[in-house]
Amino acid sequence: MSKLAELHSSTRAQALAEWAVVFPVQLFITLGVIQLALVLVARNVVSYSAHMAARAELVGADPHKAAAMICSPITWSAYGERDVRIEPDFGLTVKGQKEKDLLFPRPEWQGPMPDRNTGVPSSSDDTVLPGWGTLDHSALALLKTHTYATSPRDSQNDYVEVQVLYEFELIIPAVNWVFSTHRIAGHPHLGLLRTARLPKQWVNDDSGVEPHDYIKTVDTRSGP
Amino acid sequence: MKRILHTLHKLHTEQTAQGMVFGAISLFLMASSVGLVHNSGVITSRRVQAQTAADAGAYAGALSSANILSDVAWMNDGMAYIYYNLMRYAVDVTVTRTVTEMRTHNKWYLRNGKTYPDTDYIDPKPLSQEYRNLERLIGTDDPEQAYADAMPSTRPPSDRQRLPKPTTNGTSPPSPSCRTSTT
Repeated sequence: MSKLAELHSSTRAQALAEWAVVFPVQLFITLGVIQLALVLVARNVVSYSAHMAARAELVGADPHKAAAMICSPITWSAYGERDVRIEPDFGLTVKGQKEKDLLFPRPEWQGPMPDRNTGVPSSSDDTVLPGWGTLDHSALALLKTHTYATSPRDSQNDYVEVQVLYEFELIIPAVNWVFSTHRIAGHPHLGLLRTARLPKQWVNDDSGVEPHDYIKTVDTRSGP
Repeated sequence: MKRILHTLHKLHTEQTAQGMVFGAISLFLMASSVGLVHNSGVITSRRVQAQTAADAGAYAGALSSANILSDVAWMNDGMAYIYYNLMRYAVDVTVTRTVTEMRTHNKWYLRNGKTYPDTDYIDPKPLSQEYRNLERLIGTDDPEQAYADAMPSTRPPSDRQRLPKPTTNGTSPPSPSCRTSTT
């Protein structure tokens, strides 16, 4: 009894005990902030890729390639190079949800369901930039980036609108499941959906110049 | 020496502010994360602005080129119209003069590469549509007079034709009722 009283009144290793309680919580919060910061950075990059995809659609280029090129720097290869196969495993490990309640893709996504059996990215699919060289992870980014033009170039609207859905891999351990919407090959991912809209400048052109519609054919038989 | 050792021992055994170390590290990481997000936002914003400026410049240049090409097309159109009318007038004058000369001499030497030596007049009906148009254009049976009417400056009437000629017997000559040929 006296030993228990002594233990109760003793202050030895009190800081150690307090640290053991506080440290996991603080570590969790710190890692969560880091993961949140990475997600926000990826959100910025995906916004930029949506802008570039809309611009590519506007000028008649490939919006998917443009978006994937922008998203290549945020495509981690820590797991990707070891296990790059993208498997159709959502609905099985998404935080215990049913398939109809999937968070991926987002409800705002108007494009088709992303194809999960897109195969293994090879280095031959990597984008080569002139003057720069091979863009790292660009082949994997081509598989993780999904683009859909809600208002394509040949539409009647006076703008071009493109959606970009990017599957961002969450690499901070112990907290990544908080942000994840689905898993690819067992690794938690977050679907980031951003939309960009660019105007067709030539539609509402108010320069006042009347275009010459055609050159009149000079008919020598009937005269002017 | 004893005091220094005592201070070191006290530092070693003291447990105050232990959590501050990890707290400082965490604070540094969090601040770095916030800076990372801010930095990425600034970078993407600047890239979008630069791309927008470059696109606007390219579009403005292409628009200017297109407008200039359109103006050139308008000018080409007008020049083609003027040139066509000038050529049409020149061809009309040449053909009219040629046909006039032919009808004046009333001889058609050549037709389809064959000679008709005994024919001194050819009905204009089997001739080309252009000839019939010219007939309608002239509108007279006197092509020489029509030519003279069309181009009076080439054949100005002389003073002798215009003024009455005095005669020796004192009677005035009859005034000309119509123009007379000077040939």
